[in-house]
Order: sequence, then C-alpha cells, then structure tokens
Amino acid sequence: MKRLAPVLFLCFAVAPLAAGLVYALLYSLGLVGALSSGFTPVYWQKTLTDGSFWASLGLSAAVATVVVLLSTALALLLLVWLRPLAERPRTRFLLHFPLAIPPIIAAFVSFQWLGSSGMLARIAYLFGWIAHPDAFPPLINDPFYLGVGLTSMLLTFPFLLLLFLNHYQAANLLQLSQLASTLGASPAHINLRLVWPVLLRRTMPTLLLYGVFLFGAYEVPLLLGRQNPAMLSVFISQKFSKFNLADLPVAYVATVVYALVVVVFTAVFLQLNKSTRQTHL
Amino acid sequence: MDFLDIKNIQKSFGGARVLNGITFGLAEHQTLAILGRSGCGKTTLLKIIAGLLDGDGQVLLQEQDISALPPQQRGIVYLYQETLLFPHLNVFENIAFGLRLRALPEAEIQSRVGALLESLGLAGHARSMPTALSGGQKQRVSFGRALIVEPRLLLLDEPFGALDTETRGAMQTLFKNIAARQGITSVFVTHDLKEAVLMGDRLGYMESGLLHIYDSLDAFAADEKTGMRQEIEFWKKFKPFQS
Repeated sequence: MKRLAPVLFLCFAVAPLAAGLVYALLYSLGLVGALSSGFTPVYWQKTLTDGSFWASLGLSAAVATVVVLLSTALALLLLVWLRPLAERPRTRFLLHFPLAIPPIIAAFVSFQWLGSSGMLARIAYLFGWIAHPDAFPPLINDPFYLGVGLTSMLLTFPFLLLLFLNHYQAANLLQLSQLASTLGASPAHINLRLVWPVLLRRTMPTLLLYGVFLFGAYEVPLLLGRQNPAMLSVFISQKFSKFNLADLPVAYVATVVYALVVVVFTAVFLQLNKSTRQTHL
Repeated sequence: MDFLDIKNIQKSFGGARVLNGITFGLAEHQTLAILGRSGCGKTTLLKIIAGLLDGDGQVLLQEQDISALPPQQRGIVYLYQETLLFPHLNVFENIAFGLRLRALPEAEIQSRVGALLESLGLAGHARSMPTALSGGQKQRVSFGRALIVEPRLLLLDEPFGALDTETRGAMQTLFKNIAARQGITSVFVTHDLKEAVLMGDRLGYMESGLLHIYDSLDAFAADEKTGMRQEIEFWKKFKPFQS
C-alpha cells in the first residue's frame, strides 16, 4: 500500500491536472482544438502584447498581496486581544463561524452592505453624513477594488487568526512570553520581538499558499470587481465563455501563464520553506 | 532586613488553597533550595515572586515592595524546567535578547555575549539554532540568557529536571560555580533531595502550601518528612557486589 499510494496520487491528482495543462499549451500553440491549423505562436504574441492581460495579472497579484498583508496584520493585532478569550468554547465557535461562509455568500453580503444604496449608505444617510444614499462612495465594482479587498479580508483574517492561535499554543508562546517578560520585555517587546516573528516564521508557508489561492479567486471578483481590468480568473473566464472562438486560445495562453506563475511561486516557496526549517525552527 | 522578604503569600485556585501564608527571608548571595513533591505549590510561589501570577501578600526585594510591579520591572528572572529557548533566534541572539531590550550599544552586546559564551563553553555554537543543540547545551544557553541581564534574583524551577544524570551533575556544578563567582541570590526549587542539598546554602521543605525553612543541614536531615534520614539509612544498608 505504501508503494501504491504515490502511484494513486499521481494518477488521480497530478495526472489530470498535468494533462489539462498540456492540452491548454497545445491549444494555445494551435496544435489541437477547433481552430487547429498547425503550430503558431500568434495566440501567445496576441496575449502577451495585450495590455488587459497584464493588467489582470498585475491586479490579481496586487489584490492577493494586499489582502494577505492586511489580513495578516489584522489577525496578529486581534491575536493580542482575543487570545485570552480564545480558549472559551463560545469564542472558538464565533471564530470558526466566518470560515463556514462560502465566498459567493460573502460577496452577496458585501454587496448588500457596501453597494451605493446598501446598508452602510443608508446608515450614513440616516446620520446625515451624506446628502442622499447615492452619494455614498462606490465600494462595489470600484476602480480600486475596495469591495473585493474588503470581502476577501473578511474571509481571510478569521482563518489566519485561528491559524495564529493554534501556532501560538503549539510554539509554547505563552511560557516563552512569560520568560521574556522576566528578562525585561514589555508587552510591546514581546509581540514585536517574540510572538509575531515566531508566528510569521511558522505560518509563512500557509500565508504564501493562501496568497496563491487569492491570486486565483473567482466568485468575489466576479461579483464585486470591475470587468475591465478584471482579475485573472475572471479574465480567463471571459475569454472562455465569449462567443468569439478566436478568444479561446487566448484563454488557454492565460491559463498556461497563470499555471506557470503559480508553479514558479510554489517552487520558490518550497525552497524558502526548506531553508527556513533547516535554519530556524 | 533580608535581601528578599516574602510576607504571608497566599494563593487559591478556585476553592483550593495552594499557598497558605508563606513567609521567609533570604540574604544576599545565597541560594535557598526548596524541596517539595509535585503539586505542593513550589511553582506557584516562584511565579508570584516573579510577578507572573497574582497573589495576596508582599514581595520585598532590597527593601522595595515589588508586589505590584509587572515582571519586566522586577529584575527577577524565572527559569523553567524546559529551556524555552526562543526558536527563531540563534544561540548568540538568545543570550543577547535581554541586552537588546535595554538598547545597549552593539559593541557592548558583542563583547558581553562573546565573553559569556566563552565561559559557558559555547563559543563554537554562537550561530547555531536551538534545534541543533543538546539538552545540556540548551540549558547552558538558558542560564546565559538569564545571567547576562544581571538579575537581582534568580528563580529556578526544577531547571535540571529534564536532563540525564551526567548532564544534570555537570549543570549543578556549573551553576554552583557561577553563583559563587557572580554572587547570585537565588531560589531553587526541586523535588530531588540530593539536588536540594547540593544547591542550597539554605534549605526549605514545602508541603500543602506551607514552607518550612531549616536553620541548618542537620535540622533538615532530622526532619522525617524531608526523607533525608531514610536516604542515609538506605545507603548505610547498601552492600556493594562482591566478586
């Protein structure tokens, strides 16, 4: 069974993905599919010189990076205040609750709260902060992707908070903090020099992988983001679902580039993780 | 007045009384070894002295009432049974931790940590991470990290409990030498009779939240509950194998 397990994993997990990727590559080079007419680099040239493709790629990377950074900072700050309460079952339940919400539901909730005539706009109008509900600043389909960012953070930081809480316990940080305080560390010193660095080192692999997950997020940017530029997954979906058959190879090129970016990123992360484990934890 | 004065320390967890009015004094440069079984309240007492736990009563150090001070302002370092080295820092940075908190000049940190590493026999391990060290080496780093901040009082909570016999003996000798050389004042709790006798200038026995301090080693040995007399009797009866 020990020998069979890797084979099964290769057959059912790796092979279908690899086959799909190879098919996408062949399609993008004009070697297979409805538009197949022999090898051609034209679709790659078309995609790689298309500004909207690079805008989508950059936008996805920026949203993923900003959301992971802000969620990490928020979760680390909340850890300081919530940790003493986190051992209570009710608090634990409340912390787990947001994880049960699917992204599509979170997107709808954000739509209701952040829309131009949404609940926040009505509250602002009620308190007289704005002249009429429509005067509320756009947070949905906005040019700065604030709606997407806020909703993604809403989904991300509870997960990170729980991750940090679990690692806090596993790393024995309560006792380490007590010891540090007897060495002269103030609460701020303890967070800055001990708790946060230890937690970030321990969770870096998960944070990076979560960034990859956000890089490919679909439902939230589809509902709350702009269509142009769209995040990469929405861009690819647009190309796939358009009636223009000539856009299909472009979608495949974007898919291959997206996969390559993720593979390179994962390889770098694995190398980083390996050296971090060897030298630090 | 003693260097350390503990007055009527009391502590309960829920309804259970753990410390029942502990009072004792300790002169400067002395080590008080407290013997007691697991769960007798030794750790709770040390944590209250260090400021890591709240308790009723008074803790006076050099005639200053420090009962209300947070741990970082007491000048008391607490050493756990586990070495608790900071996992993200190498040996040098673990030892330098307390000095960096005090924002000392880099040259001074380098020189003081370097000298201490030398005296602890760890000069070759300055850049090693804690995971690369043996139990004894970790314990020496832990000591170094505590000693370098020159604490007014050192609290040791069964610090050698997790070590093998040989390493434990070496660490006891090392601590005795350093304590004598640097004039350290310390409270050393243990459940090991031999260790208590070896380490303490003064001896105490803790039971059911009460601490009794003995005037002499003879008084300690004479008290049935310390187990010292039984230990002596055991070794008197012991007959070595004869070929």
